Amino acid sequence: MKESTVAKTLPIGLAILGVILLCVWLGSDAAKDLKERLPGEDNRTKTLIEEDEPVKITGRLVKYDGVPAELPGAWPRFRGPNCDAISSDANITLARSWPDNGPKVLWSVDVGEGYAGAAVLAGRVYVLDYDQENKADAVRCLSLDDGKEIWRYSYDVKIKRFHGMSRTVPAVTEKHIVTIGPKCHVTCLDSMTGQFRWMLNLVREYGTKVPQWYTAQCPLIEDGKVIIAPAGEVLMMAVDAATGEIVWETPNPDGWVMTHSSIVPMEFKGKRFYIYCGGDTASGGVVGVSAKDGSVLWKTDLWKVRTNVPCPVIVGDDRIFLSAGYGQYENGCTMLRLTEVDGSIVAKQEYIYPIEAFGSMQQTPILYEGHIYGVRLDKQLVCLDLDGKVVWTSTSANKFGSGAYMIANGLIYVLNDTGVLTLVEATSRSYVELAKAEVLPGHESWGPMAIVSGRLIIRNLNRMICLDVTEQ
Amino acid sequence: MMSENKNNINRRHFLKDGVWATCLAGLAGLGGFLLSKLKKNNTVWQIDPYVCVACGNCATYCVLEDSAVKCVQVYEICGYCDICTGYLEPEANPPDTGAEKELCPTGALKRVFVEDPYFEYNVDEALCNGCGKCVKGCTVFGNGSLFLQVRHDRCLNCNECSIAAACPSQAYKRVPANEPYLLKKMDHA
Repeated sequence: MKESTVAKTLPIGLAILGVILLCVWLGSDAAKDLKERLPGEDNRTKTLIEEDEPVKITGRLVKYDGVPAELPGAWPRFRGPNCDAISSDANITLARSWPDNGPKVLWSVDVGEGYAGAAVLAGRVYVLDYDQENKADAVRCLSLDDGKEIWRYSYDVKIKRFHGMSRTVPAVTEKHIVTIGPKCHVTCLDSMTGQFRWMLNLVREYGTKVPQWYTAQCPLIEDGKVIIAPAGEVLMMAVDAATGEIVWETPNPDGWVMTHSSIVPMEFKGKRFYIYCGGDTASGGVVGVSAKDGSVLWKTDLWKVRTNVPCPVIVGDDRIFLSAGYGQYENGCTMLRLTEVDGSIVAKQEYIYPIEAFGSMQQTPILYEGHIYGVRLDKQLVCLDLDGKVVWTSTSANKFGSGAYMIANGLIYVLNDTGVLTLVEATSRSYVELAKAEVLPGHESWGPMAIVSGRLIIRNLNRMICLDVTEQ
Repeated sequence: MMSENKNNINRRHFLKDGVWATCLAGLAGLGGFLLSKLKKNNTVWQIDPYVCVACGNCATYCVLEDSAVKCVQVYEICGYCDICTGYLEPEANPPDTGAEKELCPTGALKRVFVEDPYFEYNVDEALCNGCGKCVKGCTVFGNGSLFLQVRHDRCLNCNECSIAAACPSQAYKRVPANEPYLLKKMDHA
């Protein structure tokens, strides 16, 4: 039987076609539809530095008819007299329950968008506000009695809305008030009259990079010296409050950048130093700088996070509790223990826990009677023992968000994001809620609290109020 | 004369026409109402963004090869931050684009510089697999402007949704077909 030509050539043809197709398939670029994801594709351009901004900005002082209150007590800086967010004024009895509508509102003032809290001294309330209408940082001095303005010192700075504008608390003494503005302008004024004393422009003079969402570092005044961390060309510096002259500077060889965390003083084995959490994940850590001469007494990179906001919490004589939140999963909190080895101070890590145990985005937790109190990222108020173990939580039925909190006379005052103030017993036994009231309806009640003479000053994004929380 | 008669509307005609018009309008309204009620009885699956925990099940449990669940962005809520916890890996430094820095495994979340200091984040729906990694980062640390929604141009509306069955937080709900999306609001506490 004779095979047809078609029957003979078809398999061969198909085989050749198959080989050709295989070659084409193997020869083609399998990844031709794939696109590399590379740096710089967002077309980022400039930084926050404004080229035309002057190094020193001339401000203006305006006096008003407010009168300082005749009330004792002081909350002279961020987190109060002892940098611990605790008030222990034994002369005042604070209410343990409130009427349904909450404590009496003594006064209320409009403030520029932000989170800047108040410092209080000699019956005066000091706020570094942002004047949105005139585009200026405004150091405002108000009466603790009625919130009426006593004076205002303003200097022009253009700030765009970026999760608010203002976010620092001034440091005040009988002679000086020092503020750090959103774009790192350090201003010193006479605390009584508002007269200008001196100014530093950290961006232009020290190469500071303004952190995302603007500066949140609050200044510290000790022994007539202003302690700030430019984290630019120098890491930390002390400035004579009276003259504005530099007393000492700490070099910044590792190029740590400025964080939102503030400097906290500590004493260990007779040495006083200033602790600062600086830098980021590329280069950062915790440093202890001598209060005497600005030398670095100890430094560690055991704790470096991308966005450092909470301050160090001093635990006893030799430990430091650190916490973080933004974008963190594993680095929620840690405890460092300082030891002296051959005359040098060394920091060792006792534990590090993820955010599920404890982590905080903005607020600094509080050490009170051997326990740590703070609001976790799941928005629950928690009590930790010093080993970082959770003692109690407020449970998911009682959430607080990123609101501010503090302790006064054994009571925790804690705000939620929308202005509901809750009074909780500061005890490690259990979560005991004593009172709750919506006192400041609005958004983002994140500004730090201050309390003086039973007057609690709180704020949300646009308004600051003073509550009478004394027992009636 | 004829045209004059035609245009001459007396009170009786006017009332008669008015009654007719009212009846017709009423009937149309009733029909519309009944139709809307009827449509409301038709329901579809949707995710409650305030209950969702961004567990990742939406990416893998959908019966479709390419999940019907996609990330959406509410620009009103977004903070337009440089350090975006919904976009960047926790260790990404400096904040920038690049596969090793981005949380999104498929590069569906796009970052665009707007003006100093703002960055806009847009979802490329064709690339999004609904894994919710960006949603988790945005919800836990940020404003929560990114969240997951069932896209009804893709969803088969199965009687027994396999993602709903696997959802650990019971975020899946039946919602009216004529209001098929549960969007986040700016003022939600």
